[in-house]
Amino acid sequence: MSQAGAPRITAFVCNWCTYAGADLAGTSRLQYAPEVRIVKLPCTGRISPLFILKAFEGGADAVLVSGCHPGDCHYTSGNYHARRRWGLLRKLLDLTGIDSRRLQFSWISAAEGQKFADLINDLTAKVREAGPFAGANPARKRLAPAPEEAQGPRRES
Amino acid sequence: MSRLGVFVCHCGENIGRTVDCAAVAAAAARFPGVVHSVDYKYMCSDPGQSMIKKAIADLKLTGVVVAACSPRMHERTFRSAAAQAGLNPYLLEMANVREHCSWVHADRAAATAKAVELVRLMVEKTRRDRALRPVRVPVEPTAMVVGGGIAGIQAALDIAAGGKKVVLVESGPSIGGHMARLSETFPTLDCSQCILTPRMVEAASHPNIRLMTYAEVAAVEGFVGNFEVTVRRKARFVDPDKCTGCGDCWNRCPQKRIPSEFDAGLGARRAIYVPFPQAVPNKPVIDAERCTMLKQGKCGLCAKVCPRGAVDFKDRDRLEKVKVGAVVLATGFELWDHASYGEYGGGRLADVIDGFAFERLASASGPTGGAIKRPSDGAEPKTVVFIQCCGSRDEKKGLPYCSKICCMYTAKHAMLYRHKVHDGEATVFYMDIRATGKGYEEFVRRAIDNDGARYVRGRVSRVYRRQDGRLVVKGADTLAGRPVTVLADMVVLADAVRPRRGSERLAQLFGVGYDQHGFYSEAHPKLRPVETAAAGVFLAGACQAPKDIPDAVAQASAAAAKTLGLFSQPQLEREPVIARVNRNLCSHCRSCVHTCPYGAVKDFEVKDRAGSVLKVVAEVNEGLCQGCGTCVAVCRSHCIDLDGFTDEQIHAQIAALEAA
Amino acid sequence: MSPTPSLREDAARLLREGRVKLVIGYRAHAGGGQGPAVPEGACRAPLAGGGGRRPAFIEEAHRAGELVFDGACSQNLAAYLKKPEVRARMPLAIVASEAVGRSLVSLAAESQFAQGALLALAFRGERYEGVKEVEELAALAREAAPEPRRDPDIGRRLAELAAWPAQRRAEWWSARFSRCTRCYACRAACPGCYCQRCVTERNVPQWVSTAALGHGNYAWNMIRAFHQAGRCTLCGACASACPQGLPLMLLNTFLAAQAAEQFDVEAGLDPAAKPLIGTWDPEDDNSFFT
Repeated sequence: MSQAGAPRITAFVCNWCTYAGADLAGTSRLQYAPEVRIVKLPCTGRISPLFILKAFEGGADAVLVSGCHPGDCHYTSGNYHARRRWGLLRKLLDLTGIDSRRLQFSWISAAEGQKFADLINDLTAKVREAGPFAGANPARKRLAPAPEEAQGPRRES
Repeated sequence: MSRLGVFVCHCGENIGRTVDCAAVAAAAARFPGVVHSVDYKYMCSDPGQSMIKKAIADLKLTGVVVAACSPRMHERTFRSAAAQAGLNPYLLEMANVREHCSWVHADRAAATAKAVELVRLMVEKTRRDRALRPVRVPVEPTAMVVGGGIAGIQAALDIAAGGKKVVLVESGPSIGGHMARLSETFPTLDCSQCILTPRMVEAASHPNIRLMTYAEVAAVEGFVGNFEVTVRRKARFVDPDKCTGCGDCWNRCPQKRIPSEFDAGLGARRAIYVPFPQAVPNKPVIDAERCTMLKQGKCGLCAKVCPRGAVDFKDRDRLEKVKVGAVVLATGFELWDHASYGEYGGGRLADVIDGFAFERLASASGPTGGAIKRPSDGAEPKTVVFIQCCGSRDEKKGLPYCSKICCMYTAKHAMLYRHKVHDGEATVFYMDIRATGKGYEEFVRRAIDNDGARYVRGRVSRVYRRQDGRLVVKGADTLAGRPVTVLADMVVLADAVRPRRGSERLAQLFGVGYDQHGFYSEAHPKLRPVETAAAGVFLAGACQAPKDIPDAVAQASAAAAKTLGLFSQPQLEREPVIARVNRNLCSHCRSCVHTCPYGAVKDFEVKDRAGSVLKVVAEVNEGLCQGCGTCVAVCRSHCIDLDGFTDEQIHAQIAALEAA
Repeated sequence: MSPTPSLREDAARLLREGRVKLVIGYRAHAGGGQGPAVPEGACRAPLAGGGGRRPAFIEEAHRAGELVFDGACSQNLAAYLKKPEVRARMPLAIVASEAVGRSLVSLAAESQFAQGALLALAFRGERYEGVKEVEELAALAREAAPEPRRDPDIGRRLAELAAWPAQRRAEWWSARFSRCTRCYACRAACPGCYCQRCVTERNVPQWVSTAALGHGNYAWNMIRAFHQAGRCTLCGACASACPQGLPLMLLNTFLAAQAAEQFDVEAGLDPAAKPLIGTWDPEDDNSFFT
């Protein structure tokens, strides 16, 4: 978390549904927590697992991935491809210490401005409650190895 | 080196009220690559746009970030302003500090800090923008319509009326489709042939329409504006240029007992035949499976009697390539086979017939001359039972959907029957009556109130034949709550509507999606009902879902309008958001090929000068790529990238968040 | 050591008849388990198999007698198919244990060799099954492993980890990943890691830091494992190759189990399989989306 304990939330959203849903939250003047930063992609299908790893590496306290509801993808199936990808990646990251409080997936349509605002508020509250990720974030950039981490080879299953 | 300009808009008070725009501009001035950063009351106004244009020219800007409203609002505005100033429009990006910031946050400090970061994100992206040119694809202004039923005919006529050429491909010997088989049409009881045949003749004689009957699509290459369709022209064994349609041949053909497909098997045709007297073209074909000359080398009577020498037993299927810019699929429907309903006789009872058979019995040009006679013995049936939803709305043994047209044509059938057999009894078993078109409910009421059709709400459990030949129909009247038995002379089943056999194969050729039943998928169920996922391929009629004639015709005209819209420009201009493969690094795992929703990624053989294949890699077809980037994300080595949303840009944006 | 005469006969015959230009198999090595003997001109063996077995690259029929096969032949020979000097000698035959066989089937599904470019001298356990085309190899693999095989120890370890709080898991993994020296022996040993340029080698942009520090190590180990999802046949070559003893099989087994559980995908059984990441089903799990 950066200054004053404000969590950092990076959102990867598609252009056609969730970005437009966030626009609608704006035109409807719905207020939500200001910590989210949106990176716009054409489709959730464009989002590589490396984007998420990079965001955590840079110190994001949470990452949000959001696109069109199943069946509504502007590109017919990009979101389905993405969903399958996340079905595996989120489990892998959870296994290694980035759990579902930190990695949120959502379908938000262009009509769901309220849902977008609610989601950002919920996610922000959840991340605040979980506390800063920095210390526990296994992906976090550190400039030197922590002394207790420097260990010799040891075989284990 | 980048020379970026940042322009922060106050949007009157809309942004300025919560975001300190001057502070944002000041912060942006310190971002790497930014040489000019200002704020202004209304960036989208004329003076605002002029300010941007002047800065581009005076400061030789290589990129522009406008921090204002949503790009969905004004990206086009600002990009065209940039273009007017000589900057490639794709080098201008917008930071959304209104919808995503000032309108949703109240805290001025927090909103300003966020706005600075949003600008920073777009500065990092813009620094890595490349000049892009819209993809321009030449358009061949000729359309292909596949399917010569009423939907296909209507689409062809409308496109032709718009001044564009049309190739109308029909698999049968004549155009006309199912509508040519109908006796009369609901809800007006117009004679179907009377309204259809003039359209058929018009299509055949229109200078912009080329008919290809007895022909099928065999292969498709290319993409929107530039399809090359290979059409298989099936052997007719009759030279249509020589044939005058005099009829001498088919009158002499000794094969007299071939069940006529057109007459639903109730009438007969010859081995050399036109399917019905008003066929267009009115030129016969030889049924190679039934002709003894073609099968055994005996007969040849038709060739002998033909005064024009038009019969050619050596004729073979031919492939012809046609270049077209757009395609309308109008392949229609067929009836579900009620043989799966063992309880209704499983298709074995002669007097249990489908709706088309009843149409032919009722048709003045049909095998009985319009007299209602039951197939088994030709007697006039005095009691007829009509059973709706035969195969429709039956997830277990039939199809789960409503076939939409059966309620109406059953009412019509009951009505026609009562008009022709005054002392006859018509009983209709139904689940619900769905009569939602203009004049439809009134039509059904007329069948009940004026023509005395007896409507029984309930399912028929069984139909069987009694010793004396009469049919026993056992069902339930669910309104009265009691079982019903009707003794009938004939039973008419309203079989479910399903897509034509082979519709999936055609969809695969054109890259069009289809549902589990084989109905073609529209691009959007509400807002793009005639387009498909394949750009330049449109839908008309019952190939998309069960439809009656008015709906099919309306959709056909819509598909024609879409086609004419596509043809209104000599070139197609598309957003240049296109995926590109780095051939040197591609390992040809083919994940992208499987992934692409548009089939735009194909294998490409890299060859040396001698033409031998060095390696195979993936390649993106610019005409088909829609720019979703899904292939990019499945590429493990990241050797595909997406123009406009490159890995480098996204990486820089994520990194900018870290630094901020 | 079983002499496996028919293996040698088949290998000799294939070479003699010109059906293959090269046979890749195993041979005995007197020196025991020290460093691998590197054949002249060939790449360095990514992994020395235990028990004194060495990879053999045989181009002449009369040398087929050098071939051996037994339980000690644990190296995944399919990894050699990545090497241009090996690919240049196609069509080739490869001695295929069950693990190698599944790797080959998986590679066939990813069009990594042309049909007819590769024959397998297939084993089931230590029983020689003869010369097999890829299709037959897949049938053999399906027969041999009707149920997915998972190491029960790994299953227990994964269950143990799952019971911990996330922070403890993060610390546990960080401690292990911190030992990674980024030597990429895991990558070299894996037949499926065949990208011409690994994403970690990409520097514009550099998604994965190449410094052997926590964040780069985490990103590398995550992306290596993820790129194997639905593809890894659990041969264990990566883990055996790792000089730091990282528990890579925990990650691989975990993802293989996820692929099976969520998507009913088992790698290396179908040469016509479409990629798990690259296909979809409308019925895929949607429960984690709000």
